[in-house]
Amino acid sequence: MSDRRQSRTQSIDAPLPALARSKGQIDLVFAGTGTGTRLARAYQSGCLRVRWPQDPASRGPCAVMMNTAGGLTGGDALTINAEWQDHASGTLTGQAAEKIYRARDGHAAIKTTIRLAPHSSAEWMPQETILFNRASLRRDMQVEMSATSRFLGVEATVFGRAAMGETMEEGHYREGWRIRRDGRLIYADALELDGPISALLQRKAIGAGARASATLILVSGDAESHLETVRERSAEACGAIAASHWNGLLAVRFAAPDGHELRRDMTSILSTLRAGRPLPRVWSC
Amino acid sequence: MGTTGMGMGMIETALYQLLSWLSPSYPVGAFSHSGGLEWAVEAADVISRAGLEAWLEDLLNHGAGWNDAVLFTHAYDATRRGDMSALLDLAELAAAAQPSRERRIETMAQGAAFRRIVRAVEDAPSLHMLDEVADGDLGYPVVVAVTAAGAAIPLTLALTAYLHGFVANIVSAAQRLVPLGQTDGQLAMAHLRSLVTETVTQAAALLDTISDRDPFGQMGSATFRADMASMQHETQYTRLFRT
Repeated sequence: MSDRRQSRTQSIDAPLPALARSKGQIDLVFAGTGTGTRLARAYQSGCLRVRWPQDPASRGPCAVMMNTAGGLTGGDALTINAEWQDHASGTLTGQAAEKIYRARDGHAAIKTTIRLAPHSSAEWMPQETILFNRASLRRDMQVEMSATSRFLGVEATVFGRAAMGETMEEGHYREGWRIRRDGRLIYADALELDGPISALLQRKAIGAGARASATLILVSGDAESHLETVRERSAEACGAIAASHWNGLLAVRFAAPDGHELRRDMTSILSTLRAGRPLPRVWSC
Repeated sequence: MGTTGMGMGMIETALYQLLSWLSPSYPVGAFSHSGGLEWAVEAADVISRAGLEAWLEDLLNHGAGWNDAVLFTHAYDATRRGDMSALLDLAELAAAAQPSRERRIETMAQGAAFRRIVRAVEDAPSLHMLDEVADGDLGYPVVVAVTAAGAAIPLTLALTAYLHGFVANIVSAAQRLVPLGQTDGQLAMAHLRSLVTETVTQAAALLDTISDRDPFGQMGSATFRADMASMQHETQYTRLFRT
């Protein structure tokens, strides 16, 4: 194993950020007003902040998260609790790509809990997460929804930015998704890459050379109606896109050579799924 | 639970049952599934015996093989403990843990067929613990584990047989698809033997920590491309396999 690691190309270690062991939490409540949606609660603490710029592109409020620590390393933890009340509709995104730096010890943790009341519509679409060499991140996302609510969620990850000459030689990444609809678990997926990540990503069943990947899940009464359009768009992708539908759930997976291609492909598919509404403005900055 | 302490004849009976249940001739329709390998061959990701072995190594180390082993182990344990609530949660997790339409079909079609045949052929009272689980929601590793636990077959033997079936089925699919000769198929089986036994040992060791660990936390898959292959297979133009 060590031979294999040493034989790889040299990687560039990112500097450790000045602020280690940061904690941040936000609790948001989107409430339906009869004519639209307002933010009924926005609690923030530690390094995690939230703002809500005017965004004509968004159907409801678009809240933008910011990590003022400028990245995460081992021991850092972000907690996001977001609730969409009856008939509320809103998007939660991130100001910038989240950067995960080399961990001296422990994992960085991002824990997201999303609750959707009946007839609400939630979009969880942070920008991509960039992992540096020897980063260690454990991400856990849990969604509780009802059969009449709509959830669109995406998680995108770049395993070392190829364009910047960075390689994620080794590290740890876990991305857990659990979605419950009317109390029943309908989707449980754990992406886990551990150890020699750049070597693992070369393998045909794992990355087949991709350095960036994303998972998109849409749970909605009309999820199936998007499958054909997503597949048509996939034919023009920079990387690989695959989609499947079952049980009211549309799953789309992306694998791309680097973050830039991944973002182009995600933008294409997200635009389709958002009925032509443009992406939140922070996505194009 | 090891094989020590089994009475005379019990191990032979267990072996006979496992050879029947996980044999290619047990009519669960295994031959119609490739787990997305058919697409991987079409995409030239698997074009040789070495490529097939690497594909299977990844599934066992970091993919569906490992996740099935975790589900199998927990289902076996819940059955032995008579913990119906844990077993039903586990069955729900097994159904939710499929990454594509066809992978879901693959595990559910075989799971339902397995239950139906076992019921028709023998007395398997432990299967009543799964009465609340509908046919379309019953994962294959779960129902095999519950049946084996009910028959007091040791976990490591049962899981070895299950994973042997998992590997043998994909090898058999590869022989038709790549194609590979019969000797190449058996070379691949021999190559994967030690990895299967290691996987069984690791999965059985989960029982040491089972009380305080969520099975979901022990699952984990890196085989992104294999999952994508099963999605892409849905639209593959010429198909020999159902999945």
